[in-house]
Amino acid sequence: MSSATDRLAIRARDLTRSFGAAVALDHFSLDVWEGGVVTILGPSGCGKTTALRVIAGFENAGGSVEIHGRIVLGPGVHVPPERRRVGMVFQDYALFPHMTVAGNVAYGLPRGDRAPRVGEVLELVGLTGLEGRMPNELSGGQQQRVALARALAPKPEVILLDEPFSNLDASLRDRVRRELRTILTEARTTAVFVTHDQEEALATSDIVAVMREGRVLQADTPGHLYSNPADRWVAEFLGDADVLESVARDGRVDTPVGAFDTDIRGSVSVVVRPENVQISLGETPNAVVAGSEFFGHDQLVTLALNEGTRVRARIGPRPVYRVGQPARVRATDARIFARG
Amino acid sequence: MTAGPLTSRRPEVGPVRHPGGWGWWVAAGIALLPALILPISLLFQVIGTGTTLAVPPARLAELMFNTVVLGVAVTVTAVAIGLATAWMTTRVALPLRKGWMTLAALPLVVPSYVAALSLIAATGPSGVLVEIPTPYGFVGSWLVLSVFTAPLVHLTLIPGLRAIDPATEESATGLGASRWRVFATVTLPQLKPALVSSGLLVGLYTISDFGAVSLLRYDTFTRAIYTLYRGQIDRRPSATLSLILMALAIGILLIERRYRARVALHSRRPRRARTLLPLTGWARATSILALAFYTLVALGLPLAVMTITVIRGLESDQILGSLGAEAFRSLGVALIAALVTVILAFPVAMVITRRPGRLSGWVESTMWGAYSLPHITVGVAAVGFALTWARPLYQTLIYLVIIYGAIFLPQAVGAAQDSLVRASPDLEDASRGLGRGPVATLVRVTVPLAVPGLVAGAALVFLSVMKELPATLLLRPNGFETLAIRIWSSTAEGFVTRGSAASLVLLAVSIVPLFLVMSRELSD
Repeated sequence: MSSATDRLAIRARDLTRSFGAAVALDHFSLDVWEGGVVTILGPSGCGKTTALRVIAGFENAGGSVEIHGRIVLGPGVHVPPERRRVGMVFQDYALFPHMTVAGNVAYGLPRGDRAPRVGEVLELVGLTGLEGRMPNELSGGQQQRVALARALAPKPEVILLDEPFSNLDASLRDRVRRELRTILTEARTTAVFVTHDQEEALATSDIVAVMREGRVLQADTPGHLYSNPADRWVAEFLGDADVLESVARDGRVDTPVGAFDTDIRGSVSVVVRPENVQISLGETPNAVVAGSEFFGHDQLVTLALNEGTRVRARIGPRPVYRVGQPARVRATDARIFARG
Repeated sequence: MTAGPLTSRRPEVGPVRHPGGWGWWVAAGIALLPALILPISLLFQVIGTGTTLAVPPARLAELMFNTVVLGVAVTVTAVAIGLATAWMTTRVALPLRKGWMTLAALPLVVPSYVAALSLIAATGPSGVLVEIPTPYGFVGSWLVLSVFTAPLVHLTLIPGLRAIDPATEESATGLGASRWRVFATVTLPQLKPALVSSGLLVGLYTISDFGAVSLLRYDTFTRAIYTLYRGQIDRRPSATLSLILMALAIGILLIERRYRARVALHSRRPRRARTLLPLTGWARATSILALAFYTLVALGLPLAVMTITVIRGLESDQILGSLGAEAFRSLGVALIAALVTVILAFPVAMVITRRPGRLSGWVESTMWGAYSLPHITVGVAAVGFALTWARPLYQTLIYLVIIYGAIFLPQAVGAAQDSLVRASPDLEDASRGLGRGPVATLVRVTVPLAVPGLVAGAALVFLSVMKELPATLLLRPNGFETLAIRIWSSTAEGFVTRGSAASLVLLAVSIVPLFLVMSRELSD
């Protein structure tokens, strides 16, 4: 991933923070390379927003944070947020309701001639002409772009985005996501997103950091993460997966959907993704079709294996299977994890 | 779950902690200082010189009986009136419904001593309205306080009635229940918390009232405290009665708080608009007549009686006195007090909304505790404190303003809180993230967003100070005659015409801030 010219934009080590009995961060560590787009992905309540707020300086924590090699959090060090050169886009945008769009965008700029930079950033986000509007006169998508423009205006070294798409309609979300990615690339800014939406994380990021219960379980490129999850939880969290329990012996594990090589011995969980499952009708059946969900471009067929477990197969829109139809199911690939 | 109000939108994130936040705590502590010191100083005054009871037990029992009987009678009556006006103006399709809603709330701004004055001017041998003997004592006090505290119930029940999900009543109707049965078995039980709460508030108000009972000569704690304070050099008897009355007030407040805390979580806003009850025929006529009657008695009559009294007085060349100077003093001290209170209130509101926790909950309770203390007892405590420990402050304008600030702090804090709660703490974080320090963030983001609340709070404090009587009576500088003092002392001395003239001026100058407050209070 890293070449010799890459530098770390953010280096967070062992961030630890709890609110009363609830642990929000438990030795959270993350590296973000300069210019990269990293997404912290995790279920709600896993501490991902807290991680972002600690990096921005709104929240204190144990551990250390370096931004472009400068220690902003560490033993005896707590650089206040206004001196971290970090831009933040809040989930609900946090636009100043008593200021115009231009006033909001100019807020973080040094006194003096702010107008050119305001115009520049508003052009970047495609809002030229709306300078005089008040935030409540804008649509959700426009508000989001003002929030982004405001964060980008002071040319921060890093920009942090807390669930930036969660307040947008589903129909708008994909488009805004693509636009945002383009804008960030143009502005050459390092960005850290926080989301609980797996698809969003996999689609927008260079690196996805999967987080659970206050710590990062695995950080990798979306493709590698999806096909090589570090454990069963990550595998199931990142996408549809079915789990078959079995026992591995002599470098092999046998399952009703096929045999796989493995270095693990003893009880194992075999995780199968639906797109790696194939159905054929001619051979000796080992399953029965139990149902199917049709999505147009593909379908998800649920099959009941003879010994009772179920697996799903994601296949093309055709053929159409009947419920109760016997079939032969085979998995072409699987991840194997030790159980317990 | 930790203790403290559940205001955080984001369970994942605890209270925002910026380094240097201790400044807010210090400022809030200063604002609360009088509220802490005064009751303690009263306690010292009572136990300071001996342990014997300074008031005969029989007298104590008599006062307790009178006070409690009046409190209960007024509470029952006011709740009945307030429930009727609130229900009719929120649930029935009446012509000018919102207008009636505001009108029924307005009598709250008539001070109890003005109401008592109207009753005195209306009756008696030279009465403007009827020449029956003036009902001094229990009856007069009960009538006046019931009519003029009913808006307290009205205002508390309106949000309560609005919070009831219309679907619960509709489903009862759908199950075949009659209109009365729906009201008795669905509406009323859901309204019970608000009813109890408003009833306790009326009770608290009644036992604290000095203006009406003193002018109508009904012997309660407040009247006895003042008589003892005036008549004796020994301050111990008045201090003793004050302490007992304070304890009674705090007791009522604690019950109210406990009750409210238990039910607050249930009230949820209904998703759909409510269809109003379409009354016709006699039911509709009765509703309108009832509202009109109440408004007439509570607003029309006092105004008419006082106006007629003043006109008659002018015709017979009675001296109305120098009202300009009194009005000027009242306005001036109320403006200064409003300003000072708002400044004191801001850090308190910041601490409560931005740093919720056990300590800020304690700050809030202390503040409301001080607010619930009968003003005459605060006056006695403040006089005692000044004479013992801060002689130079005694009978100064500064001290009067400080005490006003201590009493009316929650009015300003509550209003500021409304604004601050609506302004997400993310806005302050956003400002910090954009490179502005804590001071710049305060000046450019927090304060501008709090301005509407601060203005409303100032208006509320202004109104309260204009009306305030007992504490002013005890603490004002020598010769500092305000409108409230003039109204009360004129009436007490039998100069009803002078009192009426001053009352009309007082009501006139209250109108502008009143509209500011009312429009906020009654909006959905």
